[in-house]
Amino acid sequence: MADMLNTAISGLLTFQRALATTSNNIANVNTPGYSRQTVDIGTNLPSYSNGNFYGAGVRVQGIDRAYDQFLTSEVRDTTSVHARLDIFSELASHIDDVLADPQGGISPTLRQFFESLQDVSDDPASSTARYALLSSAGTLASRFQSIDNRLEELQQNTTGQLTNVVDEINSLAIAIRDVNQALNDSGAFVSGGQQAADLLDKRDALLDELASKVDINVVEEDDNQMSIFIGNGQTILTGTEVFSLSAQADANDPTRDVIVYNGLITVYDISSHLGGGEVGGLLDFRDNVLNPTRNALGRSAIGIAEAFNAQMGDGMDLNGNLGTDLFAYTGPQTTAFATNAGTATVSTQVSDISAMTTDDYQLAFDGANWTLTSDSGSSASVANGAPATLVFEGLTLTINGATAVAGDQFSLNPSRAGAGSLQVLIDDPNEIAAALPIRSSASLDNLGNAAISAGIVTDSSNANLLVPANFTFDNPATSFRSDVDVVVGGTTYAAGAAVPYSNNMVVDANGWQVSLSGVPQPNDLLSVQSNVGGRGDNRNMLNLANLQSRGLFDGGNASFQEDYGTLVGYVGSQTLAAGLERDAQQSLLFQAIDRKTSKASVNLDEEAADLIRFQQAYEATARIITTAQTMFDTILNSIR
Amino acid sequence: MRISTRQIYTQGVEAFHQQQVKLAKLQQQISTGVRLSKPSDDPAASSKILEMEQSISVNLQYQENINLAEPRLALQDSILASYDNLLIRVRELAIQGNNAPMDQVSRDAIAAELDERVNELLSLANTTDANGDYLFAGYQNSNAPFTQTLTGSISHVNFTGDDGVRSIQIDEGRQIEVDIPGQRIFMQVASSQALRESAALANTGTGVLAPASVVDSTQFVAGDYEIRFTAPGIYDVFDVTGGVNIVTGATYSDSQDINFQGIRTSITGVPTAGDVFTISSGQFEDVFSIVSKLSETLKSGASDAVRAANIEQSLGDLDNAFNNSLDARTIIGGRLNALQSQREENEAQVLGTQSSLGKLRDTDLAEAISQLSLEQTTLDAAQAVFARITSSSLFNFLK
Repeated sequence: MADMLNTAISGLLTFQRALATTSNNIANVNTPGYSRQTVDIGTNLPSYSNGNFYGAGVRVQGIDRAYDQFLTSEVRDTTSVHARLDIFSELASHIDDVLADPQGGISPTLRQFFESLQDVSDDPASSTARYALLSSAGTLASRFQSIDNRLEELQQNTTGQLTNVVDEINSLAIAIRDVNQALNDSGAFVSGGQQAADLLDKRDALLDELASKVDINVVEEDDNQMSIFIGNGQTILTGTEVFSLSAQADANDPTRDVIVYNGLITVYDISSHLGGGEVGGLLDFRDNVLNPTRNALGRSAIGIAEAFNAQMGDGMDLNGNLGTDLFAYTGPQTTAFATNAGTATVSTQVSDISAMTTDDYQLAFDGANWTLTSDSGSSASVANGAPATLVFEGLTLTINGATAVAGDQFSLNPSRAGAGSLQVLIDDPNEIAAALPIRSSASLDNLGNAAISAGIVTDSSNANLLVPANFTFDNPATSFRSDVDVVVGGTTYAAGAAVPYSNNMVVDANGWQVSLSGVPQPNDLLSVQSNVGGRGDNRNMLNLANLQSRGLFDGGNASFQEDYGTLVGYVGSQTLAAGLERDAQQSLLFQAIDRKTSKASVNLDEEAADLIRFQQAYEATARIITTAQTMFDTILNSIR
Repeated sequence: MRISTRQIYTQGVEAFHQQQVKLAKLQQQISTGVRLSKPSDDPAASSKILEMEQSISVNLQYQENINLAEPRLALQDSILASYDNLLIRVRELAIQGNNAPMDQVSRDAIAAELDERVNELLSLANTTDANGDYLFAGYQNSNAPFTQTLTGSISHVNFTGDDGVRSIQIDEGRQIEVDIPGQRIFMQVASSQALRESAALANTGTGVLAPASVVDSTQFVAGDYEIRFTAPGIYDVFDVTGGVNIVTGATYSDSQDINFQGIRTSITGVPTAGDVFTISSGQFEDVFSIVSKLSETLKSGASDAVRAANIEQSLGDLDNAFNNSLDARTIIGGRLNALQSQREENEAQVLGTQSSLGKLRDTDLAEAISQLSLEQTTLDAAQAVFARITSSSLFNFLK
């Protein structure tokens, strides 16, 4: 009977434990990261008597945690990939929204600008049309600025987020270290010891969170402590020691923010090795969407400014002056590395917009040569000099390298500042150069029918551009005399020399070019003069308006609209691809979580069944005690 | 396969999420009527859409250019129509003045009307457009291009504009001129009696030769003539073609008529010995001179024969002037036709682009709405299933 009572008590205790565990499972049905616990029930050691072994009841051998290392690390890895794509896709869709806004994008203002150019060409002297042109040019410039401002905000936002995420990584590493510590203190990991299920759950949840910040490698040590590695093997946690990360401006190149690893001995930049999690997504977004977009937008702005300024300069305004620049912008930015030992200076100009890329560059000096390398890997070199001139991909670098020291470096952002700095320089509508600076005429007294073309400007910087020129035909009219030096077919004829005439001949002089045709007679006079007073002339305005379809970018293949369309398409496809990948990764993540939860999480029906099972077992075990009591009573009664 | 209670809830909620995302997208597509609202919806189509929108905007601007060019050309045409009527009236007057029985008083009256007509011609040639810019001035359209000046007693119209012609863009790569240079219409009338005057560059005196004109067509012989000063105040007239002096040793006085071979001119200022002035046959006469000359012929009281010959010449010149105008109006008519057909072409292009744009960008409502009801049904079903599954629990039976 004593055996029976002992057995009954072992059963009662065991099923109390089992019921408690089931209750704990039910209570934690909604606890994130909670792994279902089960009671491992086993028999007590049997007692030996008279050659037989008699069962001695039941005991709790352990509390098992439903855990699968493979499923756990699968969730962790997919979390990392998903978090990277998620933040990338979210940020990219911001730019997507900005560029596509039917009212807020560049496209509508660009169209409006070209429409107002046409309006001026319809009526070149109208001050209303000229004012409208200046105002639509202003709208275009401020649209570039406002979009660039939004990109700038995104840039700051990205930098801020990067700092926050790095802080979170550091605190997560510390939190995991604390769990390691607690596990250590509890002695749970002493060989053969019991698992501290709740602490392990907590650590897994922290690891998942860390994985969503950055791609990690987790190694469980022999003593069941845990080490975490990031990048290409940097330890951020080993046992109970934590190494921190920080986000900061690159000491050498302050235009870039980098993630720095504060290792045991060295501190170094590991940005390029961080591929997953939010850090990876933020860096990826910044380097592959945000910066290229700002650069491309800047290049568009610079292209517009350069093309319009050049064409305006070929014209003449209502005041009879040669045209001046319509737009101003900030050109390429060259920044010396803080580590430079030398004091070389570099200035950069845009020399050919059609050859420009949207890359950023690094310029490095090896002691003899300067090498310019783009982000996409193309490069060019020039021997050092004072000055040394390097022309590469539409940029002209003037390097004053007299005091350069090997190892000196510069970062170059050719078009980053272009869009944000675009502004209109002209505020007087009369200064819009709608006319060409020259006009031509055939004298009314001519006897022949020789004609002179309206002429084009080939070099508006020629000092004699506006000097009148007269061509008087000789007798016989097979040649003419010019009162200015002229160039025909490569031959220069001084003023007063006989220039042989041929039909459709092309004459160059003083920065302009005309063609002569027809049959002249002796003494006939053709002339070219300054177009001062030519208010009705819209020739240059037509040239300006025709810039709309001119191929100015990408080797002369893309117009403004096509260039901008390419940018919109690029951002769109980046966003689309990231979104699709994110969705695919999301379903992978859900599947992994599903597999893990299906194994680890609580099922209430199952627990209800367990509840009934253990309750019934408990009731039955209790009955053993009453039975034992009855047996005892029986014996007592029999001897009474 | 084991399933956890948590899974039942997360799966259900996830299904609602996904359906609601689809429904929100459809709602946006249907309520805005636009299928592609951002580039990532379809990157290739997005840049295509931008191009199409630009094409539409550009073509509409071409239409606007055409709309502005048409009235300008029409105004030129109507000015030239008035000009034609004026020439017809001048012609009538010329024929009337040639009637032999008419007395000098009547001819003077006709001449007075002709003088008026010259002013009318001048105001037609100096017509301004709606902005107050001179229509026939070329580029320098802020000043009246045709100005009347007096050299001595002889009135003369000068052209101070230029040959500049404004073009407008009416299609990609197609410009059309919307001006006719005034000089071609009014100044360059072909005439067999046109004269041009020049002073030798080597002249040292201050003499200025006035415009010469043929006052007696019966005596006029086309050729080159030189007025040569042999001494101060003394000149010869030398026939370059014939190689002989026509006038020898004539006395010069300021602004006084110099007549030879039916030509009349005058010199103002003080020529010195050795100065040479040349009058040679030209190619073009201006219409103002033609009418003025007619008036002078009628006023001069010349003999019937001279008058008849002069008027005959003037009638021929008037016909040439009329032809100039006719040529110009033909060109204008051609341009108006070109504008009209370009307008239709642009219109067709805008419509075509708009329709492709619509296909690319706009929501297909029928499809979207049927899709909406499908997704709605799926969501309803998911909700119903969720409610059903979550309502059953073993705990319901534990009583």
